[in-house]
Amino acid sequence: MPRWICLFALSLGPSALVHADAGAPASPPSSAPRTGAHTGGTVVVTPRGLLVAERHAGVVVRADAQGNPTARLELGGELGEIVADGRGRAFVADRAGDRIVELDDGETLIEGRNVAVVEPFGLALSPDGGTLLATSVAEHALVAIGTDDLRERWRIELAAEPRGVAISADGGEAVVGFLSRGALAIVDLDDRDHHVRWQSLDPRDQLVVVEDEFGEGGSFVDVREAPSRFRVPQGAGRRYARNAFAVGYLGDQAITTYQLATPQLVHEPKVEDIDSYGGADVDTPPVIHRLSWIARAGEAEAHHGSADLDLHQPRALAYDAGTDTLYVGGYGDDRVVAIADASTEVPWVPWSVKLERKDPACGIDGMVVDGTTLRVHCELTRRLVSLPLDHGEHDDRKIAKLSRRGPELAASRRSALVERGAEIFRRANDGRLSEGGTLACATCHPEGRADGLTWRLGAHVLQTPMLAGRIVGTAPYKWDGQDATLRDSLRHTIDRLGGTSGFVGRDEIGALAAYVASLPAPKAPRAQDAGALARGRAVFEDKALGCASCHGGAALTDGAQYPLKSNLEQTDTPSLVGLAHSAPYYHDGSADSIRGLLTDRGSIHDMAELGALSEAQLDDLGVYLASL
Amino acid sequence: MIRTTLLLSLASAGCAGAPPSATTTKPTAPGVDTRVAAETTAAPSSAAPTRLSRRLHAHAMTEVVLDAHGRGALTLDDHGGLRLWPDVQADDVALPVALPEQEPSWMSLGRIDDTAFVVATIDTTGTARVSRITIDGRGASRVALFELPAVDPQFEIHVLDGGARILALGKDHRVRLFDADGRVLSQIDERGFIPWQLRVVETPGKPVALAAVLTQPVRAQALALDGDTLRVVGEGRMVALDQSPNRNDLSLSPDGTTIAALRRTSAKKREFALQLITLATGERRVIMGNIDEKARPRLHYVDDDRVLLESGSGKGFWIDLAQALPRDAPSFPPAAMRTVALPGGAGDLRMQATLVAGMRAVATDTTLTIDPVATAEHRVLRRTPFDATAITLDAGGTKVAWSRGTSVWIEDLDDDDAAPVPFDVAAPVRALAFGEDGQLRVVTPAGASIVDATGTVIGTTDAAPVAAPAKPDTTGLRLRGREAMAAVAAPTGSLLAVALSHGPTLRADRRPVLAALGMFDAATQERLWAAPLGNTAMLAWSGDGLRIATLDGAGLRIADARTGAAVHTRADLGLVVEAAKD
Repeated sequence: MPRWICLFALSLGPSALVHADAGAPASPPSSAPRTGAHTGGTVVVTPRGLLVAERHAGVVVRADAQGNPTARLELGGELGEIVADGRGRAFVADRAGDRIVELDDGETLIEGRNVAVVEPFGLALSPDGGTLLATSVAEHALVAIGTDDLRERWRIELAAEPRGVAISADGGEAVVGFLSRGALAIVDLDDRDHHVRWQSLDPRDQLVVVEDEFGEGGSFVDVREAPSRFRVPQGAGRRYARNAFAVGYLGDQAITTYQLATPQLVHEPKVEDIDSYGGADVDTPPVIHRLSWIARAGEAEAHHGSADLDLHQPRALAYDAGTDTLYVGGYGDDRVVAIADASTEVPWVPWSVKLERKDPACGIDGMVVDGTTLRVHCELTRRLVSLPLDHGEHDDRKIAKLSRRGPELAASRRSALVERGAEIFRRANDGRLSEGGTLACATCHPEGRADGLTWRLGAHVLQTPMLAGRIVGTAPYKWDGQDATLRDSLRHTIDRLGGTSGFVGRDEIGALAAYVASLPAPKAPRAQDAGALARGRAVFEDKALGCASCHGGAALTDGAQYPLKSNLEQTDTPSLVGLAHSAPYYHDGSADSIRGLLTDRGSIHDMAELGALSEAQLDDLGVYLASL
Repeated sequence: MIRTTLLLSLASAGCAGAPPSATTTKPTAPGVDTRVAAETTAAPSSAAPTRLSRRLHAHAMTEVVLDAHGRGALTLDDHGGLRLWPDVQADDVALPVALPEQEPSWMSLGRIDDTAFVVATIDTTGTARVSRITIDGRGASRVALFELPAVDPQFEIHVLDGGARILALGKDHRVRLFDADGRVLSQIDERGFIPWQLRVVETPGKPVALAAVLTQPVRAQALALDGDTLRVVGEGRMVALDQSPNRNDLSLSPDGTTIAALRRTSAKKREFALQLITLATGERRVIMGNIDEKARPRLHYVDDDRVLLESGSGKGFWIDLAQALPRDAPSFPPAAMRTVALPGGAGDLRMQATLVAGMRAVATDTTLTIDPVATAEHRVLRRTPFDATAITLDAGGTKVAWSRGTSVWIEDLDDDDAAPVPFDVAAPVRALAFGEDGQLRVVTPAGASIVDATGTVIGTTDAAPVAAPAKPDTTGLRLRGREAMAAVAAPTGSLLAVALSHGPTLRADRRPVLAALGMFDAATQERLWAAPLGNTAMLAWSGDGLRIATLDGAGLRIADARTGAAVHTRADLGLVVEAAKD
């Protein structure tokens, strides 16, 4: 009798995930992927407990298993990440102080040696602990420091707005994420020249808004192949990865979380959507959030998988090698998502919980796995939340109830009003602030900076302006200066986001205004050529050329509007503070770089008579502008 | 006067033959090595070739690019997969080479000879990669030549015929010519010169025809390549279009002297207007006419004297450009046109058609249409998807059989990778099974036959099937919150294959809806491994329970049941080349 081999067709409902060609089957990695000790964050585990970098308090705190502070070290200003070698040493990025500080994690926390790095942020230690990598926000660089003598070994200039950095388990490469670029930088650490490869995160396919064809009203969004090259090239529907704060490695795969923005959902918005971000309605959110994992990142043979995340503004990652589970934390909505089988081809989500349901909002900016507990750091409340991981539960609500909130670790240096504004600024899921709560201020303005995108707003596409350092003394606001005051501008923006500013209280607007006004100006990169800097300044201040006549004063703007030949009726003089970090330029982003702006490659041609300048003068002027 | 700049990256005598160092050192603290992520990164000279396989696309094709001879082709699918077809005109079309680049937003192919090509791609962040592909008896190999990184993003990149020179248009609006090692040979980088697109037309043996599309206002600007020197020629010519500049409405003649600008006179009519602008003199001539569709036609500038309009109805319209009249002519009678059939470009697909060196190509779904416009015939290169209604493994998992309709395939896994040839059993197949004698049983409405590997009937057997086994109990399995959709136990009972749901919060984005296949130890109830699974799948165990076959949208996969390691995979049933009349 023949043995009938069972065959059947499985018809499974829609479920999830993503991928390129199926590869190896799923099984826990043979080599344990990295945990949190060598990759920086705001909280790390050490033999003596937890070390926390309270960024806005300027304090490093050691906490016990209950989240109670047991030691502290005042460093003064704003901090970046902290990383520990697991053997009693830690390093913290003193972002405001332009240095990296070595800490002796002994009985007491002691400040040790330090090394100068302009505006350090992300930190990572090599597997042998001998090299510390740091991202320099101001100088767009990755800096390598020997931990034995704390001297700089090498640096490489990458691109604007670098943040997180991680090193692969074998120490052979590092990955760097950026706020305003849809790519990761993969730096070869074994190569003498530290060759850089770039890994794209932007997808090729696009969003298409499909109008209802059956007269039932409404529209929906479909993801479709990019149009043929013989069609009119359009920005509408293209998607861009931004705000890759958190990066890491799972085995050999680089991982990162980010947002995927569609700044121009439609080419010509409907009249009712005329002033909305992206140009479409609530059912088509212009931003989603993603996790990507990439094998052989940056190579032509890269294998890139990605998945949508059900949280807002992912900024924290933590990995449990024992269970192969990755945890992602949302800064905007205080949600933690667990991803099981994380290093395999079939990751999945066993649970997703929201912290701080009834308590003050958290603002997750760091996480670490500490044995069988997940430690979550709340930037806004400056405390740790502990979530047990060995609960065996599958009900999200029950899991959320297991979390325990620790006490405040440090007092904020910011006023209560500014703190409140910071919370509102990052807040997602508030239908008053944006349509459906899909956008937060921090979506386009991470850390009050800019995402480098041009957004469809009615008849125009407008560049996201940088806020940090460009608020005080720069009224009026918006590219055409239509908003006389900051509060007017905030309300107008909320309405543009599809929110209802009328339901946002004056005190909340006041808090937001206080927060954006408090943001420190971006630090400029150090000019390498003092002579070029001086010559460039002379060109800038040359009355015949006239740059300083409009872009003068402390805020580098005269606050006036001019009828330049553009698609704006009038153009408000923008502040040039932090110019090196805010590419592209002009109201429509048409000049891709400072060089492009100076060589008349943008859409504005009647701003200044740059044609009379020599190439050398243009170079010098570019050096000066980057120093602002 | 716009200057052009001739640049040569001079290799010093000491490093002749080696790629130039592409990093720039900036002075900082003494002893600190400072570099800038370079504009151009020449691949390390020790870069070893990587082997490439030859296989068809696993997903629907969406785009095709031809080399200057109309023979080599690059095709792209909707999952970002890229293939190189060395010669689509060959009598014996070989399987394409699977290139590693994923999701290119731009691609270009240059032919060195019949076995060597240069491929250039641009990814979604503007990173350009240039590589050399060599076809050999064992398959193909790839060597990276150079890369333009994301900090130096590109709009377009064109590999010129012969593969020795590569032309690129940067997002900074510089036009640069590189050699195959990434050295800049020449560039156009002028203030206020803002090209947004290039037109590059190559006729092998003739000078490259070049033009740039400028905006604010829209102008066509002639360029020239003299030897290795790029230069701007004359002044830009204003062009009036009825939509933004694009590669269909603005085309360059093969000799580079003329720009053709296509307009529709009305969205409600079938009328078109074609303005021919002589770049050297600015002379303008107009042709007007009517086609059979209201939609904008696909414009092919086939040779210096003719264009071909593709309407999407399946017809093409040849137009002799000698009919063009001066722009100020008092009237424009409808142009005389010769109608031909154009296969493969129905409806919107016409906008995916490309025509080079008299060869027209359209890629869609599983089909690549190759249509020489000088003849009334074409060929269709078609991927045969793996699609089955029954599947079975033999006792040891060394032979697999599947059926579709009345066709049956038997594949011996120990043989080479060639797709087996099906045999027909003249009746719909209801079930398959290998007997203990290793021969296949085929059950049809007429009964059960025993067949050999060639499909020859060698006997009959009873058709009564074994009753389907009871659904295994999955309640004790460590599913960790996942849902078991279906389960099949191994014949030995030691293993359990379970189709698992993914859960609601990790969503796919236009990727196949996937579940997972989990393999569990029936005794310990622990999961041994998991692999992706399509939303409709078939499973089959080998008789000894050591191997398992899955068949879903990704094709056939036979795996070691204990470890999950793939033993055999097949994504399709091969390439079929069909000749047809237009």
